[in-house]
Amino acid sequence: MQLLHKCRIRLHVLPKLLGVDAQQRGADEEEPLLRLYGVSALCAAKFSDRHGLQKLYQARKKAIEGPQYTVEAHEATAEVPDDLNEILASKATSTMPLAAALSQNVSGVSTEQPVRIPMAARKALRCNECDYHIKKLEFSATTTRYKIGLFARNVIPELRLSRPADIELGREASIFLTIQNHTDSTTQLMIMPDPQEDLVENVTDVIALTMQSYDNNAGVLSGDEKKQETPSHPRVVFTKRNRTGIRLDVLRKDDSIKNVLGLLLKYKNTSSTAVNSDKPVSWNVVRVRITLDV
Amino acid sequence: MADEGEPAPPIGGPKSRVTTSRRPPLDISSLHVDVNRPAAVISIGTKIIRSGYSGEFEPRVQALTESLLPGDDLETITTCKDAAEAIVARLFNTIFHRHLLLLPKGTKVVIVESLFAPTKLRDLYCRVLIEQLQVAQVSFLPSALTATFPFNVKNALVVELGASGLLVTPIHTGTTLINQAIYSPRGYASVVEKVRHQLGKHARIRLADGQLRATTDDDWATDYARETADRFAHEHSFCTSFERARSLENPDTLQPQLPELALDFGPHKLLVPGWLRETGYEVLFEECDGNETIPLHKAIHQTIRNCPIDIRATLLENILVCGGMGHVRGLYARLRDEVTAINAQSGTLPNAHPKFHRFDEARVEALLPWIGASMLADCDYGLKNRSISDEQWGQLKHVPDWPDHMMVERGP
Repeated sequence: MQLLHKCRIRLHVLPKLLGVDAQQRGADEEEPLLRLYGVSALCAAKFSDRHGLQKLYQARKKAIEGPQYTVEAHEATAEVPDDLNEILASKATSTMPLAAALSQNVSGVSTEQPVRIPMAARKALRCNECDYHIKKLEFSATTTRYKIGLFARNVIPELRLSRPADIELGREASIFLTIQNHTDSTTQLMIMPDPQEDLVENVTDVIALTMQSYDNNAGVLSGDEKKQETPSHPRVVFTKRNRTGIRLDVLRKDDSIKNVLGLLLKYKNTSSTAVNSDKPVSWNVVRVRITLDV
Repeated sequence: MADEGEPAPPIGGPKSRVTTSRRPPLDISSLHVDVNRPAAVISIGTKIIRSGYSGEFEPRVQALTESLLPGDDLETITTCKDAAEAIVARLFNTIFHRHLLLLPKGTKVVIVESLFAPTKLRDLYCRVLIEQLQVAQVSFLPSALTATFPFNVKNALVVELGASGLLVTPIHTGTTLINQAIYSPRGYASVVEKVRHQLGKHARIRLADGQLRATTDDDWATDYARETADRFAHEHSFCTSFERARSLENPDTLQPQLPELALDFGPHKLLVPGWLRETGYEVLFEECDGNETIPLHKAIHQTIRNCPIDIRATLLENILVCGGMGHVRGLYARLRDEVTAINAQSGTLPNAHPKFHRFDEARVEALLPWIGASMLADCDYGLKNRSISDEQWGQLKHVPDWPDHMMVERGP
């Protein structure tokens, strides 16, 4: 479709070709102008899509042509792998098992995310009985803050079973306990039996001890440490600085009794800073239960 | 799948005219990759369940179906019994939380299914995914069509060799010609059954003291017997050549001879003649297996003959094999020879020869439907028009099929 345009051009050559006399039209002699039709080839830059026809034409063409793919289609081939000769010539008689084939990647690259990553959990320790926080991580996984500033062992000596107890029903047996003084004062200690019907009975007499504090190193440099290790009580097995080992005789009468030893611990901290200076230091009594099952 | 671009020509004469809904073509220039929330692409097969993310080359996890759906669970699902919903919920929970490590809420899910999967199964999947797991939308893509996407071809004869059967589907200009598709129940399960039968007939058991005896029915009733047959079919069997297959009736005449195998058979050893390795996959090409099912090469030939005459040559020269049995060694050569022979015998396409679409770099026939679905799901445009959202499900309570989009216009 040829588009007709009205085009105003300056006459340089055309008047002679067209036989137009500029003076006859009364046009300016210096710059005569002509109005011509059908000269779209000379004025392509001045075309305008006034009626939207060009736009319509382009849209229609695009819809008919369809999408232009940038990826080429795969070409089918008549060449196929010659597996039979390989199989007949090969000594291997089997391929990979199905379970192994499924677990392998075809592309050989490592597995993408997400993958299972073990998480670093916050470590917190609670009391089994009262569920109070004992130890808790406050700021990061590497920071530990103790929620309790005062522990029982800072006041009372610690009793621990030093070796497994081998107790037979109805017969006396010996058990070995280790007592450790974590306090910062010299502690006087008396270990007495706590007769309860459902507990293992302690048949040993009262044991009285004096335990040094953990930071008492008075005899270390002077060589008196060996003297300290000499037991002062027949039931004491060893004494070393703030640790003492003792031997107790216990009796478990029958199977209905729990395998738990009951003791009464009477202690006095002679130089504790927690004591009121006006009142004299007094003895304190505490019940101790030691499980003999390991 | 519906056509993509031009409306279907009128059929049935001037009095009735059927038109499909116009869908714009898949334009590469309008690709939008949503990297923030890729869709989950799941393929639930009879033998293997594959799950992964859209836009990736291969699935994250490929698990045996019997490990996720033990016992009769698979049959319960496929027959949509009452307990199927709980089983499907458990399956999808395992897939999302154990395999994909993805919260299903708000996720787009793409399920690759067979062309002839029952509609009730689609509704079951949607009910569980949308109502229980609260996914954002669910799409169902046919495996035959998605298998063509990795090759970027619009014309192909897709041959799906699966565990339950084989399906030959012609695809022309991106349109699946469902009426011309042919299904045969000769799948991997048939191969394993054939292998078990052959082993029971020809294999011998070597006892601990070195004595040999034939196998009995009691031997083949054990669990390790089933595993032995499955393992032999997968690891040792292969598809023999056209010429050797004709001589299998007299295995002593085969040259060269394959060595005898000694397989673990519970507490004993099972001695298997080497030629038995070539008999398992013959079930795909046997003329008659007693059940009047069509063999593979005849299914291909019949499918091509069912198609319009002007596209037959195109289909024969664009054969695309996919499915688990596409990895069988020697399959392509045998298939080429069988199809060439039957084509020459019938004179259907005397000047055309079968050609195949395959990648030389890797054997990915089993993954082709999943890869194609992953590619399509990665295109935001591709999923939007082919999915059912939670709002639509709330209104319809069933998955609309492609005929639901058709408008039937009756003439005056």
